[in-house]
Amino acid sequence: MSALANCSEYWELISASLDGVLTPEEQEKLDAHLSECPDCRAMWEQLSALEPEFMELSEPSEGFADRVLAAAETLEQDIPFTNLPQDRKPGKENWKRVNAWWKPIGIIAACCVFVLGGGWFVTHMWSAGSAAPSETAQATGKAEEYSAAAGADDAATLPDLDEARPVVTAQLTLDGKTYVQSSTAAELPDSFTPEGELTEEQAGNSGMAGHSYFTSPGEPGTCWVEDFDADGEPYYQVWTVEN
Amino acid sequence: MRTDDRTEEQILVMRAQRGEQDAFRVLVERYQKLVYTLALRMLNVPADAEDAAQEAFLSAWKALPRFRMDAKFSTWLYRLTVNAATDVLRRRQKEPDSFDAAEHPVQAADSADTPEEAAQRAERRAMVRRAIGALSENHRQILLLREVTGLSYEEIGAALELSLGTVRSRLARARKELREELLAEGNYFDLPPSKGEKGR
Repeated sequence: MSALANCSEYWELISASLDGVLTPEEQEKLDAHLSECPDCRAMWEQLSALEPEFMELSEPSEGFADRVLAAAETLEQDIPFTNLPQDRKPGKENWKRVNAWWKPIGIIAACCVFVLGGGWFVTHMWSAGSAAPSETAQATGKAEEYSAAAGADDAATLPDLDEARPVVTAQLTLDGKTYVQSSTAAELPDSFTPEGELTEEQAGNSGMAGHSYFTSPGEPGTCWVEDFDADGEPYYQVWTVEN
Repeated sequence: MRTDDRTEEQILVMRAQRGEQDAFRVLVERYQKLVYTLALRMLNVPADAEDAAQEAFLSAWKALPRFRMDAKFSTWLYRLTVNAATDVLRRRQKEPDSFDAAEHPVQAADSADTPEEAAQRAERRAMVRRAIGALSENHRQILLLREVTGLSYEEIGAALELSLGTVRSRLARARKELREELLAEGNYFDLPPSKGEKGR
């Protein structure tokens, strides 16, 4: 019974045995077969010999992490729709992210910086604006310190992430009404028809400008917005008029 | 959920979700070798692999605020890496002249080897790389996810949205295809085996 063509049921067992996921019964069955089938034994030996070829890891060139971080700094992160606390440290992209009531302060601050030509005001403004009690602890974080925090003993020194902080709620504005996101869904109901793409103005701080949105005459006050997950698969956000 | 219920990595991920670059840097430094190796095995060209690895990390950075903590960060990151490397492969297929495998020999072996050993190691490695490159896209992805990153069947299933049964049977078919490629190439299985592994 040595022709490989008759052994296809064992290929999967051979592969699974390399990954160490066989049940004892399967292992026994495979061992019995390998002891009498030279072709499958050869396959098992050859595939086993291949394993070390994969294990060697390569390293990207020097400074890879620095380049990633430098590029990340120029990228705006997506806005979460779960009202995640936004206690961001100052950064050039953060202007667009903070709640609307920050904006006048930001503009005044920008003028002052221009007039005074110094960084003092920026520092002052941010420290004054960051009401979160744990801000200082977080702002001093360095890569090494985070790494060192791996130990359980150090867990106590990590700031509590659930402390109250300013919250940004993502909002859409359609026909003068403010919408907040209530849920997501995989499929769009048939009753909802496309209205076009959200403009910058409609999308507000939601980060959803350019996304298609849908409404239904039967469900006023509800708007569905198409989005794509990290894998590029479409899904829909359900937005409702804020009460 | 209290702070001490979270793993250290979950805390890093949550901080990165809020835009803390220091936390993200730790994640980049932690996963850069695996992400880069995964991309390199798919693409065989270091410069392309770095581009794909960077793309994967930047996609992660951008989408982190929407990342749900019920998934494992590493699994998600590997999935983004596979996607980024696949994009490079597709671009190559559109411009076939832009890539010539012969111009991209695999790196030389350890300096500790004798010249003969080094040559044989390099030859074996080159054969495996060519054979991996000849696999179908699905087979290459799943095999590298398993072998390079060491993901479990469950994690591979989550990353590629496959059932456990499909993961198992597809891995078996990928290995069978790889072996056939190597047998067709000639003397791979007759050369003395590579020396043991280096850290994973």
